[in-house]
Amino acid sequence: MKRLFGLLFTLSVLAITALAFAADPAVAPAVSPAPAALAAFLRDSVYPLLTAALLGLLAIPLRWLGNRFKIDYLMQRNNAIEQLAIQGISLAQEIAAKRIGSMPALTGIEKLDIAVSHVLQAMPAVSQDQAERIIQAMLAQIPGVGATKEQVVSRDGLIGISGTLQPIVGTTTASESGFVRLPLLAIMLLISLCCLAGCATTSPATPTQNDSPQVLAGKSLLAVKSTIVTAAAATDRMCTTGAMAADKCAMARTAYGQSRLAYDSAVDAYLLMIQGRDPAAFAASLQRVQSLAANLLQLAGGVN
Amino acid sequence: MSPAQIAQLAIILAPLVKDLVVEGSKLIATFRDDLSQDDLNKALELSKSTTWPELTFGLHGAT
Repeated sequence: MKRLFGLLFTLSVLAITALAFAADPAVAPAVSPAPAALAAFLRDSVYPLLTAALLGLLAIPLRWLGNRFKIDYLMQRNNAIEQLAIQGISLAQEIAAKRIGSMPALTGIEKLDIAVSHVLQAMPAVSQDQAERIIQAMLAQIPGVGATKEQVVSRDGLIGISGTLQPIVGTTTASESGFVRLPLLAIMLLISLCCLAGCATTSPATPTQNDSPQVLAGKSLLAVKSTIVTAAAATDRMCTTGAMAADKCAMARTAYGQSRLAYDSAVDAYLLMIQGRDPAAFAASLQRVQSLAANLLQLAGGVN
Repeated sequence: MSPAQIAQLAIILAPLVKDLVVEGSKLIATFRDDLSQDDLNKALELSKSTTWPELTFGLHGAT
């Protein structure tokens, strides 16, 4: 999942930049007095910084959202456990029925053991205690079985059992509950970013059509700043409201600090490049940005 | 999804959407501004991190 989001945000960054440049079909390297330096600046400074900032700042809340709202996974897991529990109960009943007349009857504990073993064989990650509680809950929904006998707790959604759908107690903790589809959230964000870039650059009235590559690169840097500050403010709000764990907030604060340094270095590199003076200082600034961007990526877990 | 869950989702997403709209508007305005290179250089100087908000991320102490 982490790699998927890394890929999605990298693609979104590339899409924004590509849209910005695609909006000006007349852009040609010949317009720039230093096309190689500009290309190097974009490739080595703007892109890594933007990618690192997005991964560093957005991956943290998204990871938190992923942990908090993994509803699809939990629902599928619960359904699978329930199906296994029913199978286990049926298996125990069948074995007990076969024993009638020829062997000692199965005790309740033995039946429970058979059903629990069936669940644990298929899903070893489920604890024995959890499996027992699920099976006992299932017993209450099957007529003639368990301590509730004919007083059936009715529910829907499972083959052979009627009634209304009720959550299974004990299989989902409060911190795991939720209702947002994370992939959908990421896709919506990606579409929003692309639409935003499209609105910013493709309108016939926009002067972007006449911007030189240098000006577009500078504007992209300003956009980087907006992105970092927006993401950081959103993360800060989650942290101050206690919605994020303290260790994640500490990581976010470090990433924000490094983003500030990296942005300042990128601006310095851009200004040095535009003013065309001191190539050594320009190269040093680029090196500093690359180093900080690499740190940010490592902090965000965006690279292995 | 129950009404309570929808309300909870709205509470979580509303500030994020607001920030996205505000900053997105600024971004669009920036890209559409007919800035000269000199103006852009000044805007970049002014956008350096000293003007960024000081965020604590809920952790008070050294930044």
